[in-house]
Amino acid sequence: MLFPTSVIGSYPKPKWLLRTLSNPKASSEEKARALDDAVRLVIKEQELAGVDIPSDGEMRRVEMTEYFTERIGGFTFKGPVRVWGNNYFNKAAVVGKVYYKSPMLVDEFLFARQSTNKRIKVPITGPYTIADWSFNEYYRDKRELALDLASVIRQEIQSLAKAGADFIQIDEPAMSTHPEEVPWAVETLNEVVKGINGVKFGVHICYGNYRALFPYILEAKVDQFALEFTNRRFRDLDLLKEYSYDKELGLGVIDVHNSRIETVEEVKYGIGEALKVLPPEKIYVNPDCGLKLLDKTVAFEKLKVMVRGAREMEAEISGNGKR
Amino acid sequence: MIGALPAPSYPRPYALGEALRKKKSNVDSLLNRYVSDLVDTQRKASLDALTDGRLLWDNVVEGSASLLSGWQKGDLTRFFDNNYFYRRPIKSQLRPLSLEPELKLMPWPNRLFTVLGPFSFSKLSSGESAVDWDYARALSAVLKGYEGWLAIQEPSILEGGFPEDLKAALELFPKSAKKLLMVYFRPFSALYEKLLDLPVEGLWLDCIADPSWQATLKELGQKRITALGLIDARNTKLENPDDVLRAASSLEATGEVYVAPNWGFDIIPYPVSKQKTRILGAIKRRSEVS
Repeated sequence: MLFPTSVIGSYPKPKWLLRTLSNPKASSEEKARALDDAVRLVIKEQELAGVDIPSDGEMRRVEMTEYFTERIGGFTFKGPVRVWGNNYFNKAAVVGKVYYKSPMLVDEFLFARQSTNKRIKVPITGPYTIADWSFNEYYRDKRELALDLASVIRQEIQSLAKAGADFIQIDEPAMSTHPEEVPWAVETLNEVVKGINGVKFGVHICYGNYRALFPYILEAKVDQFALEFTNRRFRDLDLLKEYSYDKELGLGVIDVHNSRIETVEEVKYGIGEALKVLPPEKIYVNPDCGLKLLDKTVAFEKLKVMVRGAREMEAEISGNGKR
Repeated sequence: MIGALPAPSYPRPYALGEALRKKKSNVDSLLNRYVSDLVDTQRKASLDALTDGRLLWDNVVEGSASLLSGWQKGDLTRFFDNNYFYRRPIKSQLRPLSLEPELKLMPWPNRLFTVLGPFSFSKLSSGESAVDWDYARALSAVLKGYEGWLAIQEPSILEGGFPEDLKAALELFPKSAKKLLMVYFRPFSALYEKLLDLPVEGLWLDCIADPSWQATLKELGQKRITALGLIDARNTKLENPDDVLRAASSLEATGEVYVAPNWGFDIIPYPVSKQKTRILGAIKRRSEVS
């Protein structure tokens, strides 16, 4: 199959879920049931949209770093901070040596797996991004913190692999924001995946300076980079050619910060741009980033368009032998 | 004696953000409450300037652009290396709007207002490494007659390619204001001599990003006003007032010296921004005593 479709991870939470979770009268059993229902629902929606590799929509996670810093030892919280517009997250402060406490995603993965026959992608936030998006009150520098976090994340990935997860995406959006740190950030990434077999590893990076990633990411021992491209109007795809990039590309063809629904032609245009620099078998198709900030209906429609664009491109290529 | 300045902007408290996001009717009352709270904190800390915190500005890029018409919001872009984003302004024909609504929120004589400078606006909007003269002219028309502190943020000039016409562009800014050119996130020492030559009353320097700041200022001297950004606006770790005072006092100052945050407090939690404001006050008090 050409152009398999997937998601980056997060999906809009249903309003009834948010109401239940914030209802002080709801019991913990009711909240747990609501979360299970929400996971089944969003996986089903992705299936209905035709997505080949869904995720559980990160229904159980508040935010991509907060979920982990709440569960890793050594962090504390001092209040929400704004990321853009009126979107906030609880940015943690590191106040002691970080340490692994217990599995964070295994139950989430097992539940998602039993909710679908499709392969499940499990996103996990990487050590560099957790380090960069935390206030460092304890470690001498960010590198020292990131290396300790790499050991923590590696333990979690080992647990996931043991439970049967075979497609894990390490989210490292911060990696492209500090060019001078990319070389050692890739080292921490390799620490995370070291010695773990039988798992397809993807890395998601977005909204930064992609030129800073090269040539270093070519040394990353992962199978795929899933990158935002719609927001940047497919600029920077040339970098892949310039550096003879030979891993898979998770091509972002859906703008997750704009509620306008792309056209099928726009999706096909994006894939066409990627085909100028990579062979078709290297291209996966996904949104630019997590969908959680979109209206749920809009997210669903965007996924449908994304899948239709991918399938039409596949048909065109398969039909003609080449485009 | 060493003075103290507040951050040019403060974090939008979560409750206010939620009210704005949900378009609730209590936005104005929340805004008034938080501005009063911030001003009260700054007054109690005896800071030398007062700001309303620019709580309604999403960021300094869009906030500064909001003083003008003739632009629209573009793609979401990271603000330097922070997990903090702005919509890139796409300009058509920039025209000045009125500063009056903004100044109503800051009716104090020692107010501190801030704008993005014309080079950084260009770099952060169109990506061009050049002074945006349309912006400079339109913005200076908005600011005409402004009295008080004016922090002109020019972080992009530290990224290389110092714009020789920045000096001429800054000449357009109001003579009536106490203008501080603010640079941050990178070492400034290599450009310091050029900064000294700019037509502003003072410089607001990110000393945290530049380990050579003391040597540079000692060697090359200072402008009439120097704001030492020694309070880390990107970390919750609280500074020890004695340590900061010691560092600031090591400078054999030739003009007015102020301790200050190295940038806006936009990306630390609101309660921490208030704690850091109190630390600024503590440094000033200790300086008075010593």
